[in-house]
Amino acid sequence: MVGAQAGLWFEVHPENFMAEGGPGLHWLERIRRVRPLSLHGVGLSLAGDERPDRDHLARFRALIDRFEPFVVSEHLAWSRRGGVYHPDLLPIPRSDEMLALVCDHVDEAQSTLGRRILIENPAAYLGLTGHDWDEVDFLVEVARRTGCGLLIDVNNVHVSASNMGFSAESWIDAVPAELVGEIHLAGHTPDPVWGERLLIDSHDTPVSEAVWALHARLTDRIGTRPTLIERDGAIPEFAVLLAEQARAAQALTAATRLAA
Amino acid sequence: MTTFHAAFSDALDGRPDALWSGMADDDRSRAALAVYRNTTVKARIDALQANYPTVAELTGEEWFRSAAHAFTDAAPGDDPAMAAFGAGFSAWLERFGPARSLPYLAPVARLDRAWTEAHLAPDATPLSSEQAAGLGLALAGVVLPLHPSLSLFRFDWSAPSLWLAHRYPELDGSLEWWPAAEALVIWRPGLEVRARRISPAEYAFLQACRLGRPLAVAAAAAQGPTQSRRDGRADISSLFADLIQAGVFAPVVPGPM
Repeated sequence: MVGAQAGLWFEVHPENFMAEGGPGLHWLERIRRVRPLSLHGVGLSLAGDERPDRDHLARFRALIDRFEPFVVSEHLAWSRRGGVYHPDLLPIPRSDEMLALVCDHVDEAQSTLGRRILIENPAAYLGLTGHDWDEVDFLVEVARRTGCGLLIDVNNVHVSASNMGFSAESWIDAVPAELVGEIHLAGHTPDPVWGERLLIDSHDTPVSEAVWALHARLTDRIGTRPTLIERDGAIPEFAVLLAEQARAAQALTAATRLAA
Repeated sequence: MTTFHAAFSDALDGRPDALWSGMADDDRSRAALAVYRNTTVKARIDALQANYPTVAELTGEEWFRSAAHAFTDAAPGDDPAMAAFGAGFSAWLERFGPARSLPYLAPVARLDRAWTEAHLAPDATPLSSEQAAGLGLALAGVVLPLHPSLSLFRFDWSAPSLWLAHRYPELDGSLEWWPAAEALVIWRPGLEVRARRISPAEYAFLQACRLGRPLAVAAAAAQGPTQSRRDGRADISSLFADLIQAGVFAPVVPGPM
């Protein structure tokens, strides 16, 4: 157990701690005292057509000032519009117009939060029209223009590639190593009706072999990064989670040897 | 504003025509859009169920989730901090046709809401007995602030007992719904939200404090219902001591001298 906990860090959604007080903040304080913390936002709506919400940014900033996370991240997605919050990571057509919009919002978020953030690739389900950019090129361009980094969700790369019909390997190979600040792993499930033709980023199954292979492909090239396995549903025995964590740690150790 | 975001928002609300114009409106696309719609709908309903567990227990999960779907369509919310999701559910239940035969639901929803608000309220160390004693002779003229997490309720029916029986089964709750005037406080003196039924005298005392009346006035208000009792005055000091012990007051902020 001691070995399994070495290097352990925690990641939470800041939205779950945007309260004036209460036990949640108390427990986060206690965790932060002994472990590094990452804040992984879901509500900034950086790819929205409205500016990031001022109150939301202020509450986010207050959490950053209080908990001093070692990394802060958000998504290439939107969730707020016209006074409604959609609790999901909604897609955009990756046009030149959207690129300018997203960059403005990332600039505003970084200047208000007072630090560099990482942007994560979401899972794609719907084949939109109007793309001027491939996803990975779009993300790299946002990073180039705003100075942000990238959080690579390897499961989302696999799910999006499968759903949209592009090569996950090419996507992974196109990510510049110096932009990657964190890696996410997770499980997915086939849609009950559409099966393998529509994969869902469900976070309720073990990491798939295909995703482990992509993960190895990425880390063999770029080396090790802080890595999180997301599991939100059908949570198994702790020992099973630890075994999965050990596998990720093993892959990263191998990657460190390869990169050295 | 972009036409894409407008079209996608409309599609999430069940009006996908603008999104499909210029896009493949086939079964696969409709299934993909449904993934987004289902995720948003489920997240809101889950959040509402988490915040109104007593209502959900009383109605059963199927009834609750169906009602929650109607509520979240009407009031989807604008805040990504979903822990506070669902303000207004009680008032909505009062107007919700299928809930008309379940008159206890809206009052119980108000109490579930108060629990959530206490849970997320600012932290504050309650006024201690020592601090109260330290006020000395000035005490009668002092306005005692209630704890920032505290909600105070009085009902004509037994909503507090019914709610307590579900949320705090170790306390003196009751599953009966009957016309009995009951009062309740919900507050969080430390890390855990607490609740307890209070007497009419305690209610009158706390209500006077909430209205910013000095302690002497609050004490008189509390004596109202017990005036006929010879030991009324003694009751007030033990009532006050008991409420301080429970931690329902915030420390007095020293005013300008």
